[in-house]
Amino acid sequence: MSTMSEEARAWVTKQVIAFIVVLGISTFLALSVNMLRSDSLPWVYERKTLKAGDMFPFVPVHAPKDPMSRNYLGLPSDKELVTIADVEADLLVLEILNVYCFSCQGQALALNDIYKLIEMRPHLKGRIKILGVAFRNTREQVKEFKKEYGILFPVMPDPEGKVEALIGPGIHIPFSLYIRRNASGSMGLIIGTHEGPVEDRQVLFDGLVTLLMKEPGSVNFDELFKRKGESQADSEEWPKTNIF
Amino acid sequence: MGADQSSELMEWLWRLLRVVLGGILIYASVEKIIHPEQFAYAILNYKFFPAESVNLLALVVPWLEFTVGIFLIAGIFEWVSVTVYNGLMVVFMALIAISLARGLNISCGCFSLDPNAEKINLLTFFRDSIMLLLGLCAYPLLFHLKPPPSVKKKQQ
Repeated sequence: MSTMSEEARAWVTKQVIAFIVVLGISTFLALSVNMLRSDSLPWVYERKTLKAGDMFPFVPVHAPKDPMSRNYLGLPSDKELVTIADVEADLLVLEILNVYCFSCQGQALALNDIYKLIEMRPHLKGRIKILGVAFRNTREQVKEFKKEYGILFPVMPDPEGKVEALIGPGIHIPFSLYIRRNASGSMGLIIGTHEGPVEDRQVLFDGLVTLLMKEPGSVNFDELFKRKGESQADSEEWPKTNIF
Repeated sequence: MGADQSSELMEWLWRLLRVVLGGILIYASVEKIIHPEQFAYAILNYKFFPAESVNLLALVVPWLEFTVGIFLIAGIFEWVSVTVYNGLMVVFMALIAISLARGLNISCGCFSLDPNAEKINLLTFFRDSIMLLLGLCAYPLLFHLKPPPSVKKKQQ
């Protein structure tokens, strides 16, 4: 009897050790591979403001209805819900704005000129894309805005203000996120953010080309969108709109 | 059918079952290993785990599925591998049942991370119950082929 219970005990011990080994191997593999990724943990945040190095949340949203916007962004035609991963671009400028915000209107006009410049250049067309998100604006308001200002790049309405939950608290609009692909090819790596308008077209264009061509992390982001000869104080003097 | 033939048949059945169970786990794990950031959001959609644990789960669970899948196919640590498989199925089924009861309109995230994938419904639960049943079928085979010591003594 005592031999049997010793055997049984040994068997159970062996199974427990096997379980620990399985868990250990899985955890080791998970952590090792994670270290090789450029966008390692964390991916889900608790009310944190997004910044360079973060992955843009993979929250599904309804794809734009008009075919031109869908084609421009490279979104699959058969998908109703899309995430950032579905956007076909090497560099995406995601601009958070409100159509009634004065600074946002200036920024949209600047981005519109940049959009035209990019579309005229074969080596940039299809690589740098611009997408606006109109915080707390309806579809009709966005339509009127685009018509009035001649905005050509897609602007998605966000009447319920859901983008705030994605970007995080304490943001002033216009707010720009510059998004590229990570090392494994997934679209969504934030390489920089910028609060406030950049209306100098030359600075904006040069900045975007730099972000496209250079490796993430090798660019001094603070200097990138500053006007030549502009001090830090000058660049902060714009009417801040804190709708968030 | 003699005892030897019966044992041989059970061996073959067990090999086939191991490949099926291991294949299910490996297939389920691949996309999640490649895109853990998307799997993290799939877990978050269940509104069950705190955000602090979601990231770790998204990182480790796919690799647990993959490792156990490999071990099942290779016939390593068979008892533990089958038990972990069944444990995972029970957890997934519980999450689906809770989400259905709460009326959450979400994708399972089990085999695909596409947000356009079919939302969870009773068929999802039924599918997972079939996979759990397959896993439970492993125990009679294991008891016959690789019995624990107390069972072995009784058989002798």
